[in-house]
Parts: sequence; C-alpha cells; structure tokens
Amino acid sequence: MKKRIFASFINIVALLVMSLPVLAQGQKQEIKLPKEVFPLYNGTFVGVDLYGLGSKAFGSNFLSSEVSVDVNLRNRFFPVLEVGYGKTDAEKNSISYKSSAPYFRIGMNYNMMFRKKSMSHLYLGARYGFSVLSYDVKGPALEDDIYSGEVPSFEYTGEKTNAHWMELLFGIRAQIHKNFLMGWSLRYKAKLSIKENASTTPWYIPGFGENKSTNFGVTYSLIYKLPF
Amino acid sequence: MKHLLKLLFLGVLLCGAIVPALIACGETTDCSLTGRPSPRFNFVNDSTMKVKKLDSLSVIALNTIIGDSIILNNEKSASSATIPLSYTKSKTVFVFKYSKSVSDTIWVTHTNTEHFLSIECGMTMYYKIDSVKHTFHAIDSVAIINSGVDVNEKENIRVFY
Repeated sequence: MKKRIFASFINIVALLVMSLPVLAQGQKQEIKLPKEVFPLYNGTFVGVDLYGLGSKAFGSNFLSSEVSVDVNLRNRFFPVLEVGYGKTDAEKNSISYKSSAPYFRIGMNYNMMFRKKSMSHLYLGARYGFSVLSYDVKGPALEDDIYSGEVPSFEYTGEKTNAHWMELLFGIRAQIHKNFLMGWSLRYKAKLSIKENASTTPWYIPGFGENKSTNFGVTYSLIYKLPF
Repeated sequence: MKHLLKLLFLGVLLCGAIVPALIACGETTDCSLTGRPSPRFNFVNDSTMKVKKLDSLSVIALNTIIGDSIILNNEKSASSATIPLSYTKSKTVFVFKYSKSVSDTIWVTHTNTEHFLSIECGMTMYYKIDSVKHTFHAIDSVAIINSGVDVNEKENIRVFY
C-alpha cells in the first residue's frame, strides 16, 4: 500500500516537472512571434460547469450549474459573463432551509500564455458576482435556559435578499478535440455585502456558497469554441 | 501542449482530494462567537468621564429558572459587565452588588425579536432596549448608547457613578 502511494506521489511530481519545460518553451517562442499576429477578435467560447452538479453527489448541501460565455481578445484578455442557478434544500438540528435562485458574474480572464498560438492556456481572472434570492426557513422552539420560557417554533417563507461578492481565480483550459476544451478554475471569493432581514440571516448565497465572509470555490467546465 | 492537457487532468484528479480540504479550510462557522446576544454595560466616572473600575461587583439576575442567578461573582476592578436578557419577557431585572451593604437594582425594558443565524447556529434572540431604570445607591445615571443587541458585541448601556 505504501509502495503504491509512493509510486503515485512520484508520478504526480514527475508530471509537474515534465510540464515545466513546456511552459518554459512557451516563453522561448514569444520572441519569434510578433505582437500583431493576434487580431482583436479570436473567437467566442461557451462553457458549462459540471462541478456544481457533481459536488451535491459528494455530500455538499448545495447544487448549482452555470453557463459561461467569454470572448478572446488579442489572445490575452477574455471578458466573461457567467450565469448560473443555485439551489439548496438542507436540514440540520431540526432546522430546514430552502432556497433557489439565479446568479450572475461578470469579469475578465488574463491568458498567462498569450504569446502561444493555442487555445490551451493558464489564466488568472477576477469576477464581480451578485444574486437576488428568496428563501424559506423553519425550525423548532427556542428555549430560554436562563430565565425559563420558550419562544414557539418559527417559520419564515419568501424572505428576500440580495448579495454581492468578488472572486479571484486561477484556471487551466486545454483543447481536447477540435473546438472542444476542458477547464477548471480555483476561486477565492470575498463577500462585499448582503442584505439581512429583521428575523433571518440568509445562510446560502447561490454562486457564492455559504454566507461567510470568504469562501473557496471550484469550477470544472466543458467548453466549446463557436465556429465564428 | 500535451503536458498542459495532462495538467488539466491532474487538476481534475487532485480536485477530488485537495479541493474539499481547501473548501473546509475556508472560514469555518464558529457558533460560540455568536453565542447568546447580551447587552454590555460600561462603567464611567461621572465627574472625570473616564472608565470607572469598581472595587468589587457581583451581578445577580432575578426571576431566573433557578430563582436568582449569579451572573458575575465578586469581580475585582470591573469596568464592564455583559448581562443576558430574557427571551420571553419584555423586562429583565438584575442587581449590581458592590459590597454586603451597597447594591443597585436595574430594570431593563426590551423588545425581543427572534433571529435565524444559520443552519449550524440555529436561532437566537435579538433585542431593542427601550428603557433602563435603576436605583440611586451608587449609580448616578444611565444612558442607552446602542439600543440594538445582536451578535456584534458593542457598548449598549453606559452607567455613570
């Protein structure tokens, strides 16, 4: 077993080391390619995120799916729009919480390998995201363990709120066949603001995750380059 | 470029192991921080307007589940006290005891609003302090600084001696 783990570790390290010369090669080639080789418009890409759908199967309370559209400008800048739909139907400590709503993100990716004439690349990006949502929450009575007495069980339906956040991300996109690509991105999310209601604080924000000041997120996408 | 493709697949494989750990490493929900929202009383010297440190302070909440409960027991050099309010009643009464013979009674009238925090931390009670009355044995006066009592702890009531 230990041997197997060690062998897997060596494979991963070897793979990472092997990839470095390729990246370095990209640096070398940049000298050969003149800047004007890339026109302003280099194509439009449409992607579908699968991670949000799959994470529910691995025990997450949240289910989401999103579509992204980005445009390649001078092979360097990729302005992007992401539209998704998030849903939760969770129960814990006798409290049930339901919410489902769309979310939107707008931002830009920066191709770190922009001198290479290839659809595959590494990138850094930033996003602004927002969601307008409503949620239902109900739970048991609240017992006063100091002064005695009990507040009856509660139920709030149709609580409305909106949330805004920023994301910084790192990602990889690789061509798998002709106009088809795969990609993943790792995202650091920071909440900008959220509207709290008088009797409830939203627990889940579609597109952002649990209502905390920061979250990490992942996307794993299948991408298609439109033929124009 | 094949290596980039390998990196992509490697990332996908690692996602299964690393990403859940990374997500778990994000800010965790600590319900102890949200606790039971309670107003904080700060003590101020009426003549100097500086922080007043009481030589000794015991706080006894009246009409609790066990009769009277000691919230603070003979605290030395106390410059503030955080005292829980009732969930169900609109008036909470407690006694500030400075010595065997000197004490003040304080009546806090409040509006209670139950509040859902999160599915992990459940419900709690937020308050709006409407008025504060007191005896004048050691206390000179009181002022409501922040009437809202929630999970963000702050000075709610200033007590002048």
